[in-house]
Amino acid sequence: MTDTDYEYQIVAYSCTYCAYNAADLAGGLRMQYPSQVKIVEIPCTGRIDILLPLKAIEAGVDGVMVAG
Amino acid sequence: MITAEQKPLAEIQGLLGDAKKVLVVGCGTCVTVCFAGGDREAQIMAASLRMASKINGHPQEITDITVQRQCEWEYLDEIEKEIADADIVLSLGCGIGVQAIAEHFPDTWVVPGLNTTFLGMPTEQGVWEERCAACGDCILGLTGGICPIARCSKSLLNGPCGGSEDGHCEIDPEVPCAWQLIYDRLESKGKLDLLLEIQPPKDWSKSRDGGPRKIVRQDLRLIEDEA
Repeated sequence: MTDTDYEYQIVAYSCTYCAYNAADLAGGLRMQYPSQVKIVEIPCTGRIDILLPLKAIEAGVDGVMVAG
Repeated sequence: MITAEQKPLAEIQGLLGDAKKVLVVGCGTCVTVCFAGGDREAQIMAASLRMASKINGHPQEITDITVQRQCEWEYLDEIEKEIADADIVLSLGCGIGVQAIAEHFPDTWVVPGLNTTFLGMPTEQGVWEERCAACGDCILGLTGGICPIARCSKSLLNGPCGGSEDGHCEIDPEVPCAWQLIYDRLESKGKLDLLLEIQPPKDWSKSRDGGPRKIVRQDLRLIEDEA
């Protein structure tokens, strides 16, 4: 596998009121996004605690996105 | 509350050595509210140590658990099994919690993850200040509720000293002079006459100078047959 073949795994913690809705709308519009982005719906980005990205990184993801 | 700070990760790793199974024990009381060793900090510590051990190439099995209070036998009884399963226990309690675990589980090797710092309170978000030295002979009634033992750098009973400058202590311009605070407080309450009385040397035998202290309340003790 070359560097360019590596599929980065990204967890996107998304606020239910904005970013998650936006992703939902994008899906409704049949817009595409890479499958290695895993969206996790959260009630608010205020819910983000250092433990959430820590656990994701510990589980092996390459990056964490907080969207809200 | 008892306030504490976490030790640097490298120091904690040194204390843990190459133990295979590590149990991080948080405490749900004082060190939870000063964000040093509660459930959240125990989880973060365990995750950090797990990742560090993987990076170092010697993965350790690191779990965490938090009890309501590490300084009471009843709460420690609840984690007896987890303690027995661990090669080493990293206590995120204060120094009392660490010693309680060592005393309650004599077969267990326990190390501290925190530096217990002082008896104090949060004065604003993210700021804690020392307020009490647990001297065993409270004189706050003479000083308007401001403790010169804990808050004067010299623990003077008849202050201020010559190092008080513009209301601050000579050790650090950020540190308020406790005796200035006491003077201002007594003045505002019309009780400056309290300062006219020279305080004799304090009886330090009720503090640490008297050796380790102990309180026995006969009214609270169980009679021997019930104990």
